[in-house]
Amino acid sequence: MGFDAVLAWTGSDDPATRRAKIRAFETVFLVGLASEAIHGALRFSNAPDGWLRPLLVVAFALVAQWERVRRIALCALLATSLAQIAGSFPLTANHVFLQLYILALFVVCDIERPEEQALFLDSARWLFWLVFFFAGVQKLVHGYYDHGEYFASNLSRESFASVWALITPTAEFERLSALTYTAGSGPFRFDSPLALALSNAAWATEIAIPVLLLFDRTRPLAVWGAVGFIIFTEWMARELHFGALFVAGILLYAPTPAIRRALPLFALFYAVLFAARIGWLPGITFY
Amino acid sequence: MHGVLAVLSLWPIVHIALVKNFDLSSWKLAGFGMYAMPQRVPGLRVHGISDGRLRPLFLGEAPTWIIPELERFKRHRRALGNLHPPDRLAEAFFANDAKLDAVGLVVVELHLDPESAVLEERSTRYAYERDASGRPVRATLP
Repeated sequence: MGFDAVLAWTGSDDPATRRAKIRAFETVFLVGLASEAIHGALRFSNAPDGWLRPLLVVAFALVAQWERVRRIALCALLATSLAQIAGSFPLTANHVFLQLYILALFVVCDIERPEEQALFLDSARWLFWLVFFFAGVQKLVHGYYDHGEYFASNLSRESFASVWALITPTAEFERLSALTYTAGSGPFRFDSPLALALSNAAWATEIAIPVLLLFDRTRPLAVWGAVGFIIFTEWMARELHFGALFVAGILLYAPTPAIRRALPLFALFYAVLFAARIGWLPGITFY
Repeated sequence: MHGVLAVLSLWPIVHIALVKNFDLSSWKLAGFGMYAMPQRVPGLRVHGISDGRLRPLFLGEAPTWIIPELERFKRHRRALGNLHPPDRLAEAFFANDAKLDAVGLVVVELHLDPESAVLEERSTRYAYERDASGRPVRATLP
């Protein structure tokens, strides 16, 4: 069995809509890449590369809209992504690697050729599948979700506390919130059934949804389940650029070019993020 | 293309094994284990032997000259765990003090034990001596 067979599990597309689907995904991806670079520069004004990388990313993303030089601009973006990884290694965030893989796909696949359109879509879907599935597997195997240990030890983070305060009995929440992050402190464990269920649902959902994405009959349900799940988890994690990238990737599984119809929503989303970052919409915290 | 995708597909499994066996961070190195475990921040205690006497090389705040190397070590240690021993730090301490005969480094990390759900201090000890050319070599711990 070749890897073709593995990729075939991620679904198929109407050949007539493939190109539109890829271009819509590319638009969301490049706007997200540029937005994240700008936010990084605004957040960390003393970053070593300052505004150089963000300006290059914005410039190359704009040039990529010009069909004749699109792949050259994407090559340049791939180079900036490699430079970003080289500069942040080994603490590079996982989604930066995902961006690198997607950029490499854009560079390698000629989206004017039908067979390479299919290769791009299958490969991109598979990459998002891997991230989703292994995020769940890693949570399961390291054992910090059985009794909510991970969440219980992170209640000092306001975005986590705001969710767990709603579903944990007051006495239990206060006990866990009062624990200091010092040697001997603990146990960082939930007791209430709802908290335990939610903690375990995190890894179980991250494994179940990718499995459901592999079957034609369950794929539509899995797509909307995944989008809902990502929105809920981003309420806590607040890594909103990653969340948007992931929603875009999951929409590639939708049999209809849903991502194309969602373009205005993505545009609004990135505009809101920018307004929040420059202080026009106070109270929205994200990383 | 398919070969690269196959390698990327297998890497998270290798990554899990590395996290389990060498204390790598699940968060880093493209294993997609973000939020799977608490992030660790390593601390360091450093002792040296010179003129036959054991003494701490610094207490509290580190001297300015070692800070860049110390920060670099912490960054790499956070991601790479036990695969990143403090060899370069030892080299820097030897380079800074010609009278130093040996250096002992204790990497201290807070670890949330998944069994007990209690935070424990985990220490890993490293010892270095000078070889004939003056370069640091790993020494056997007493």
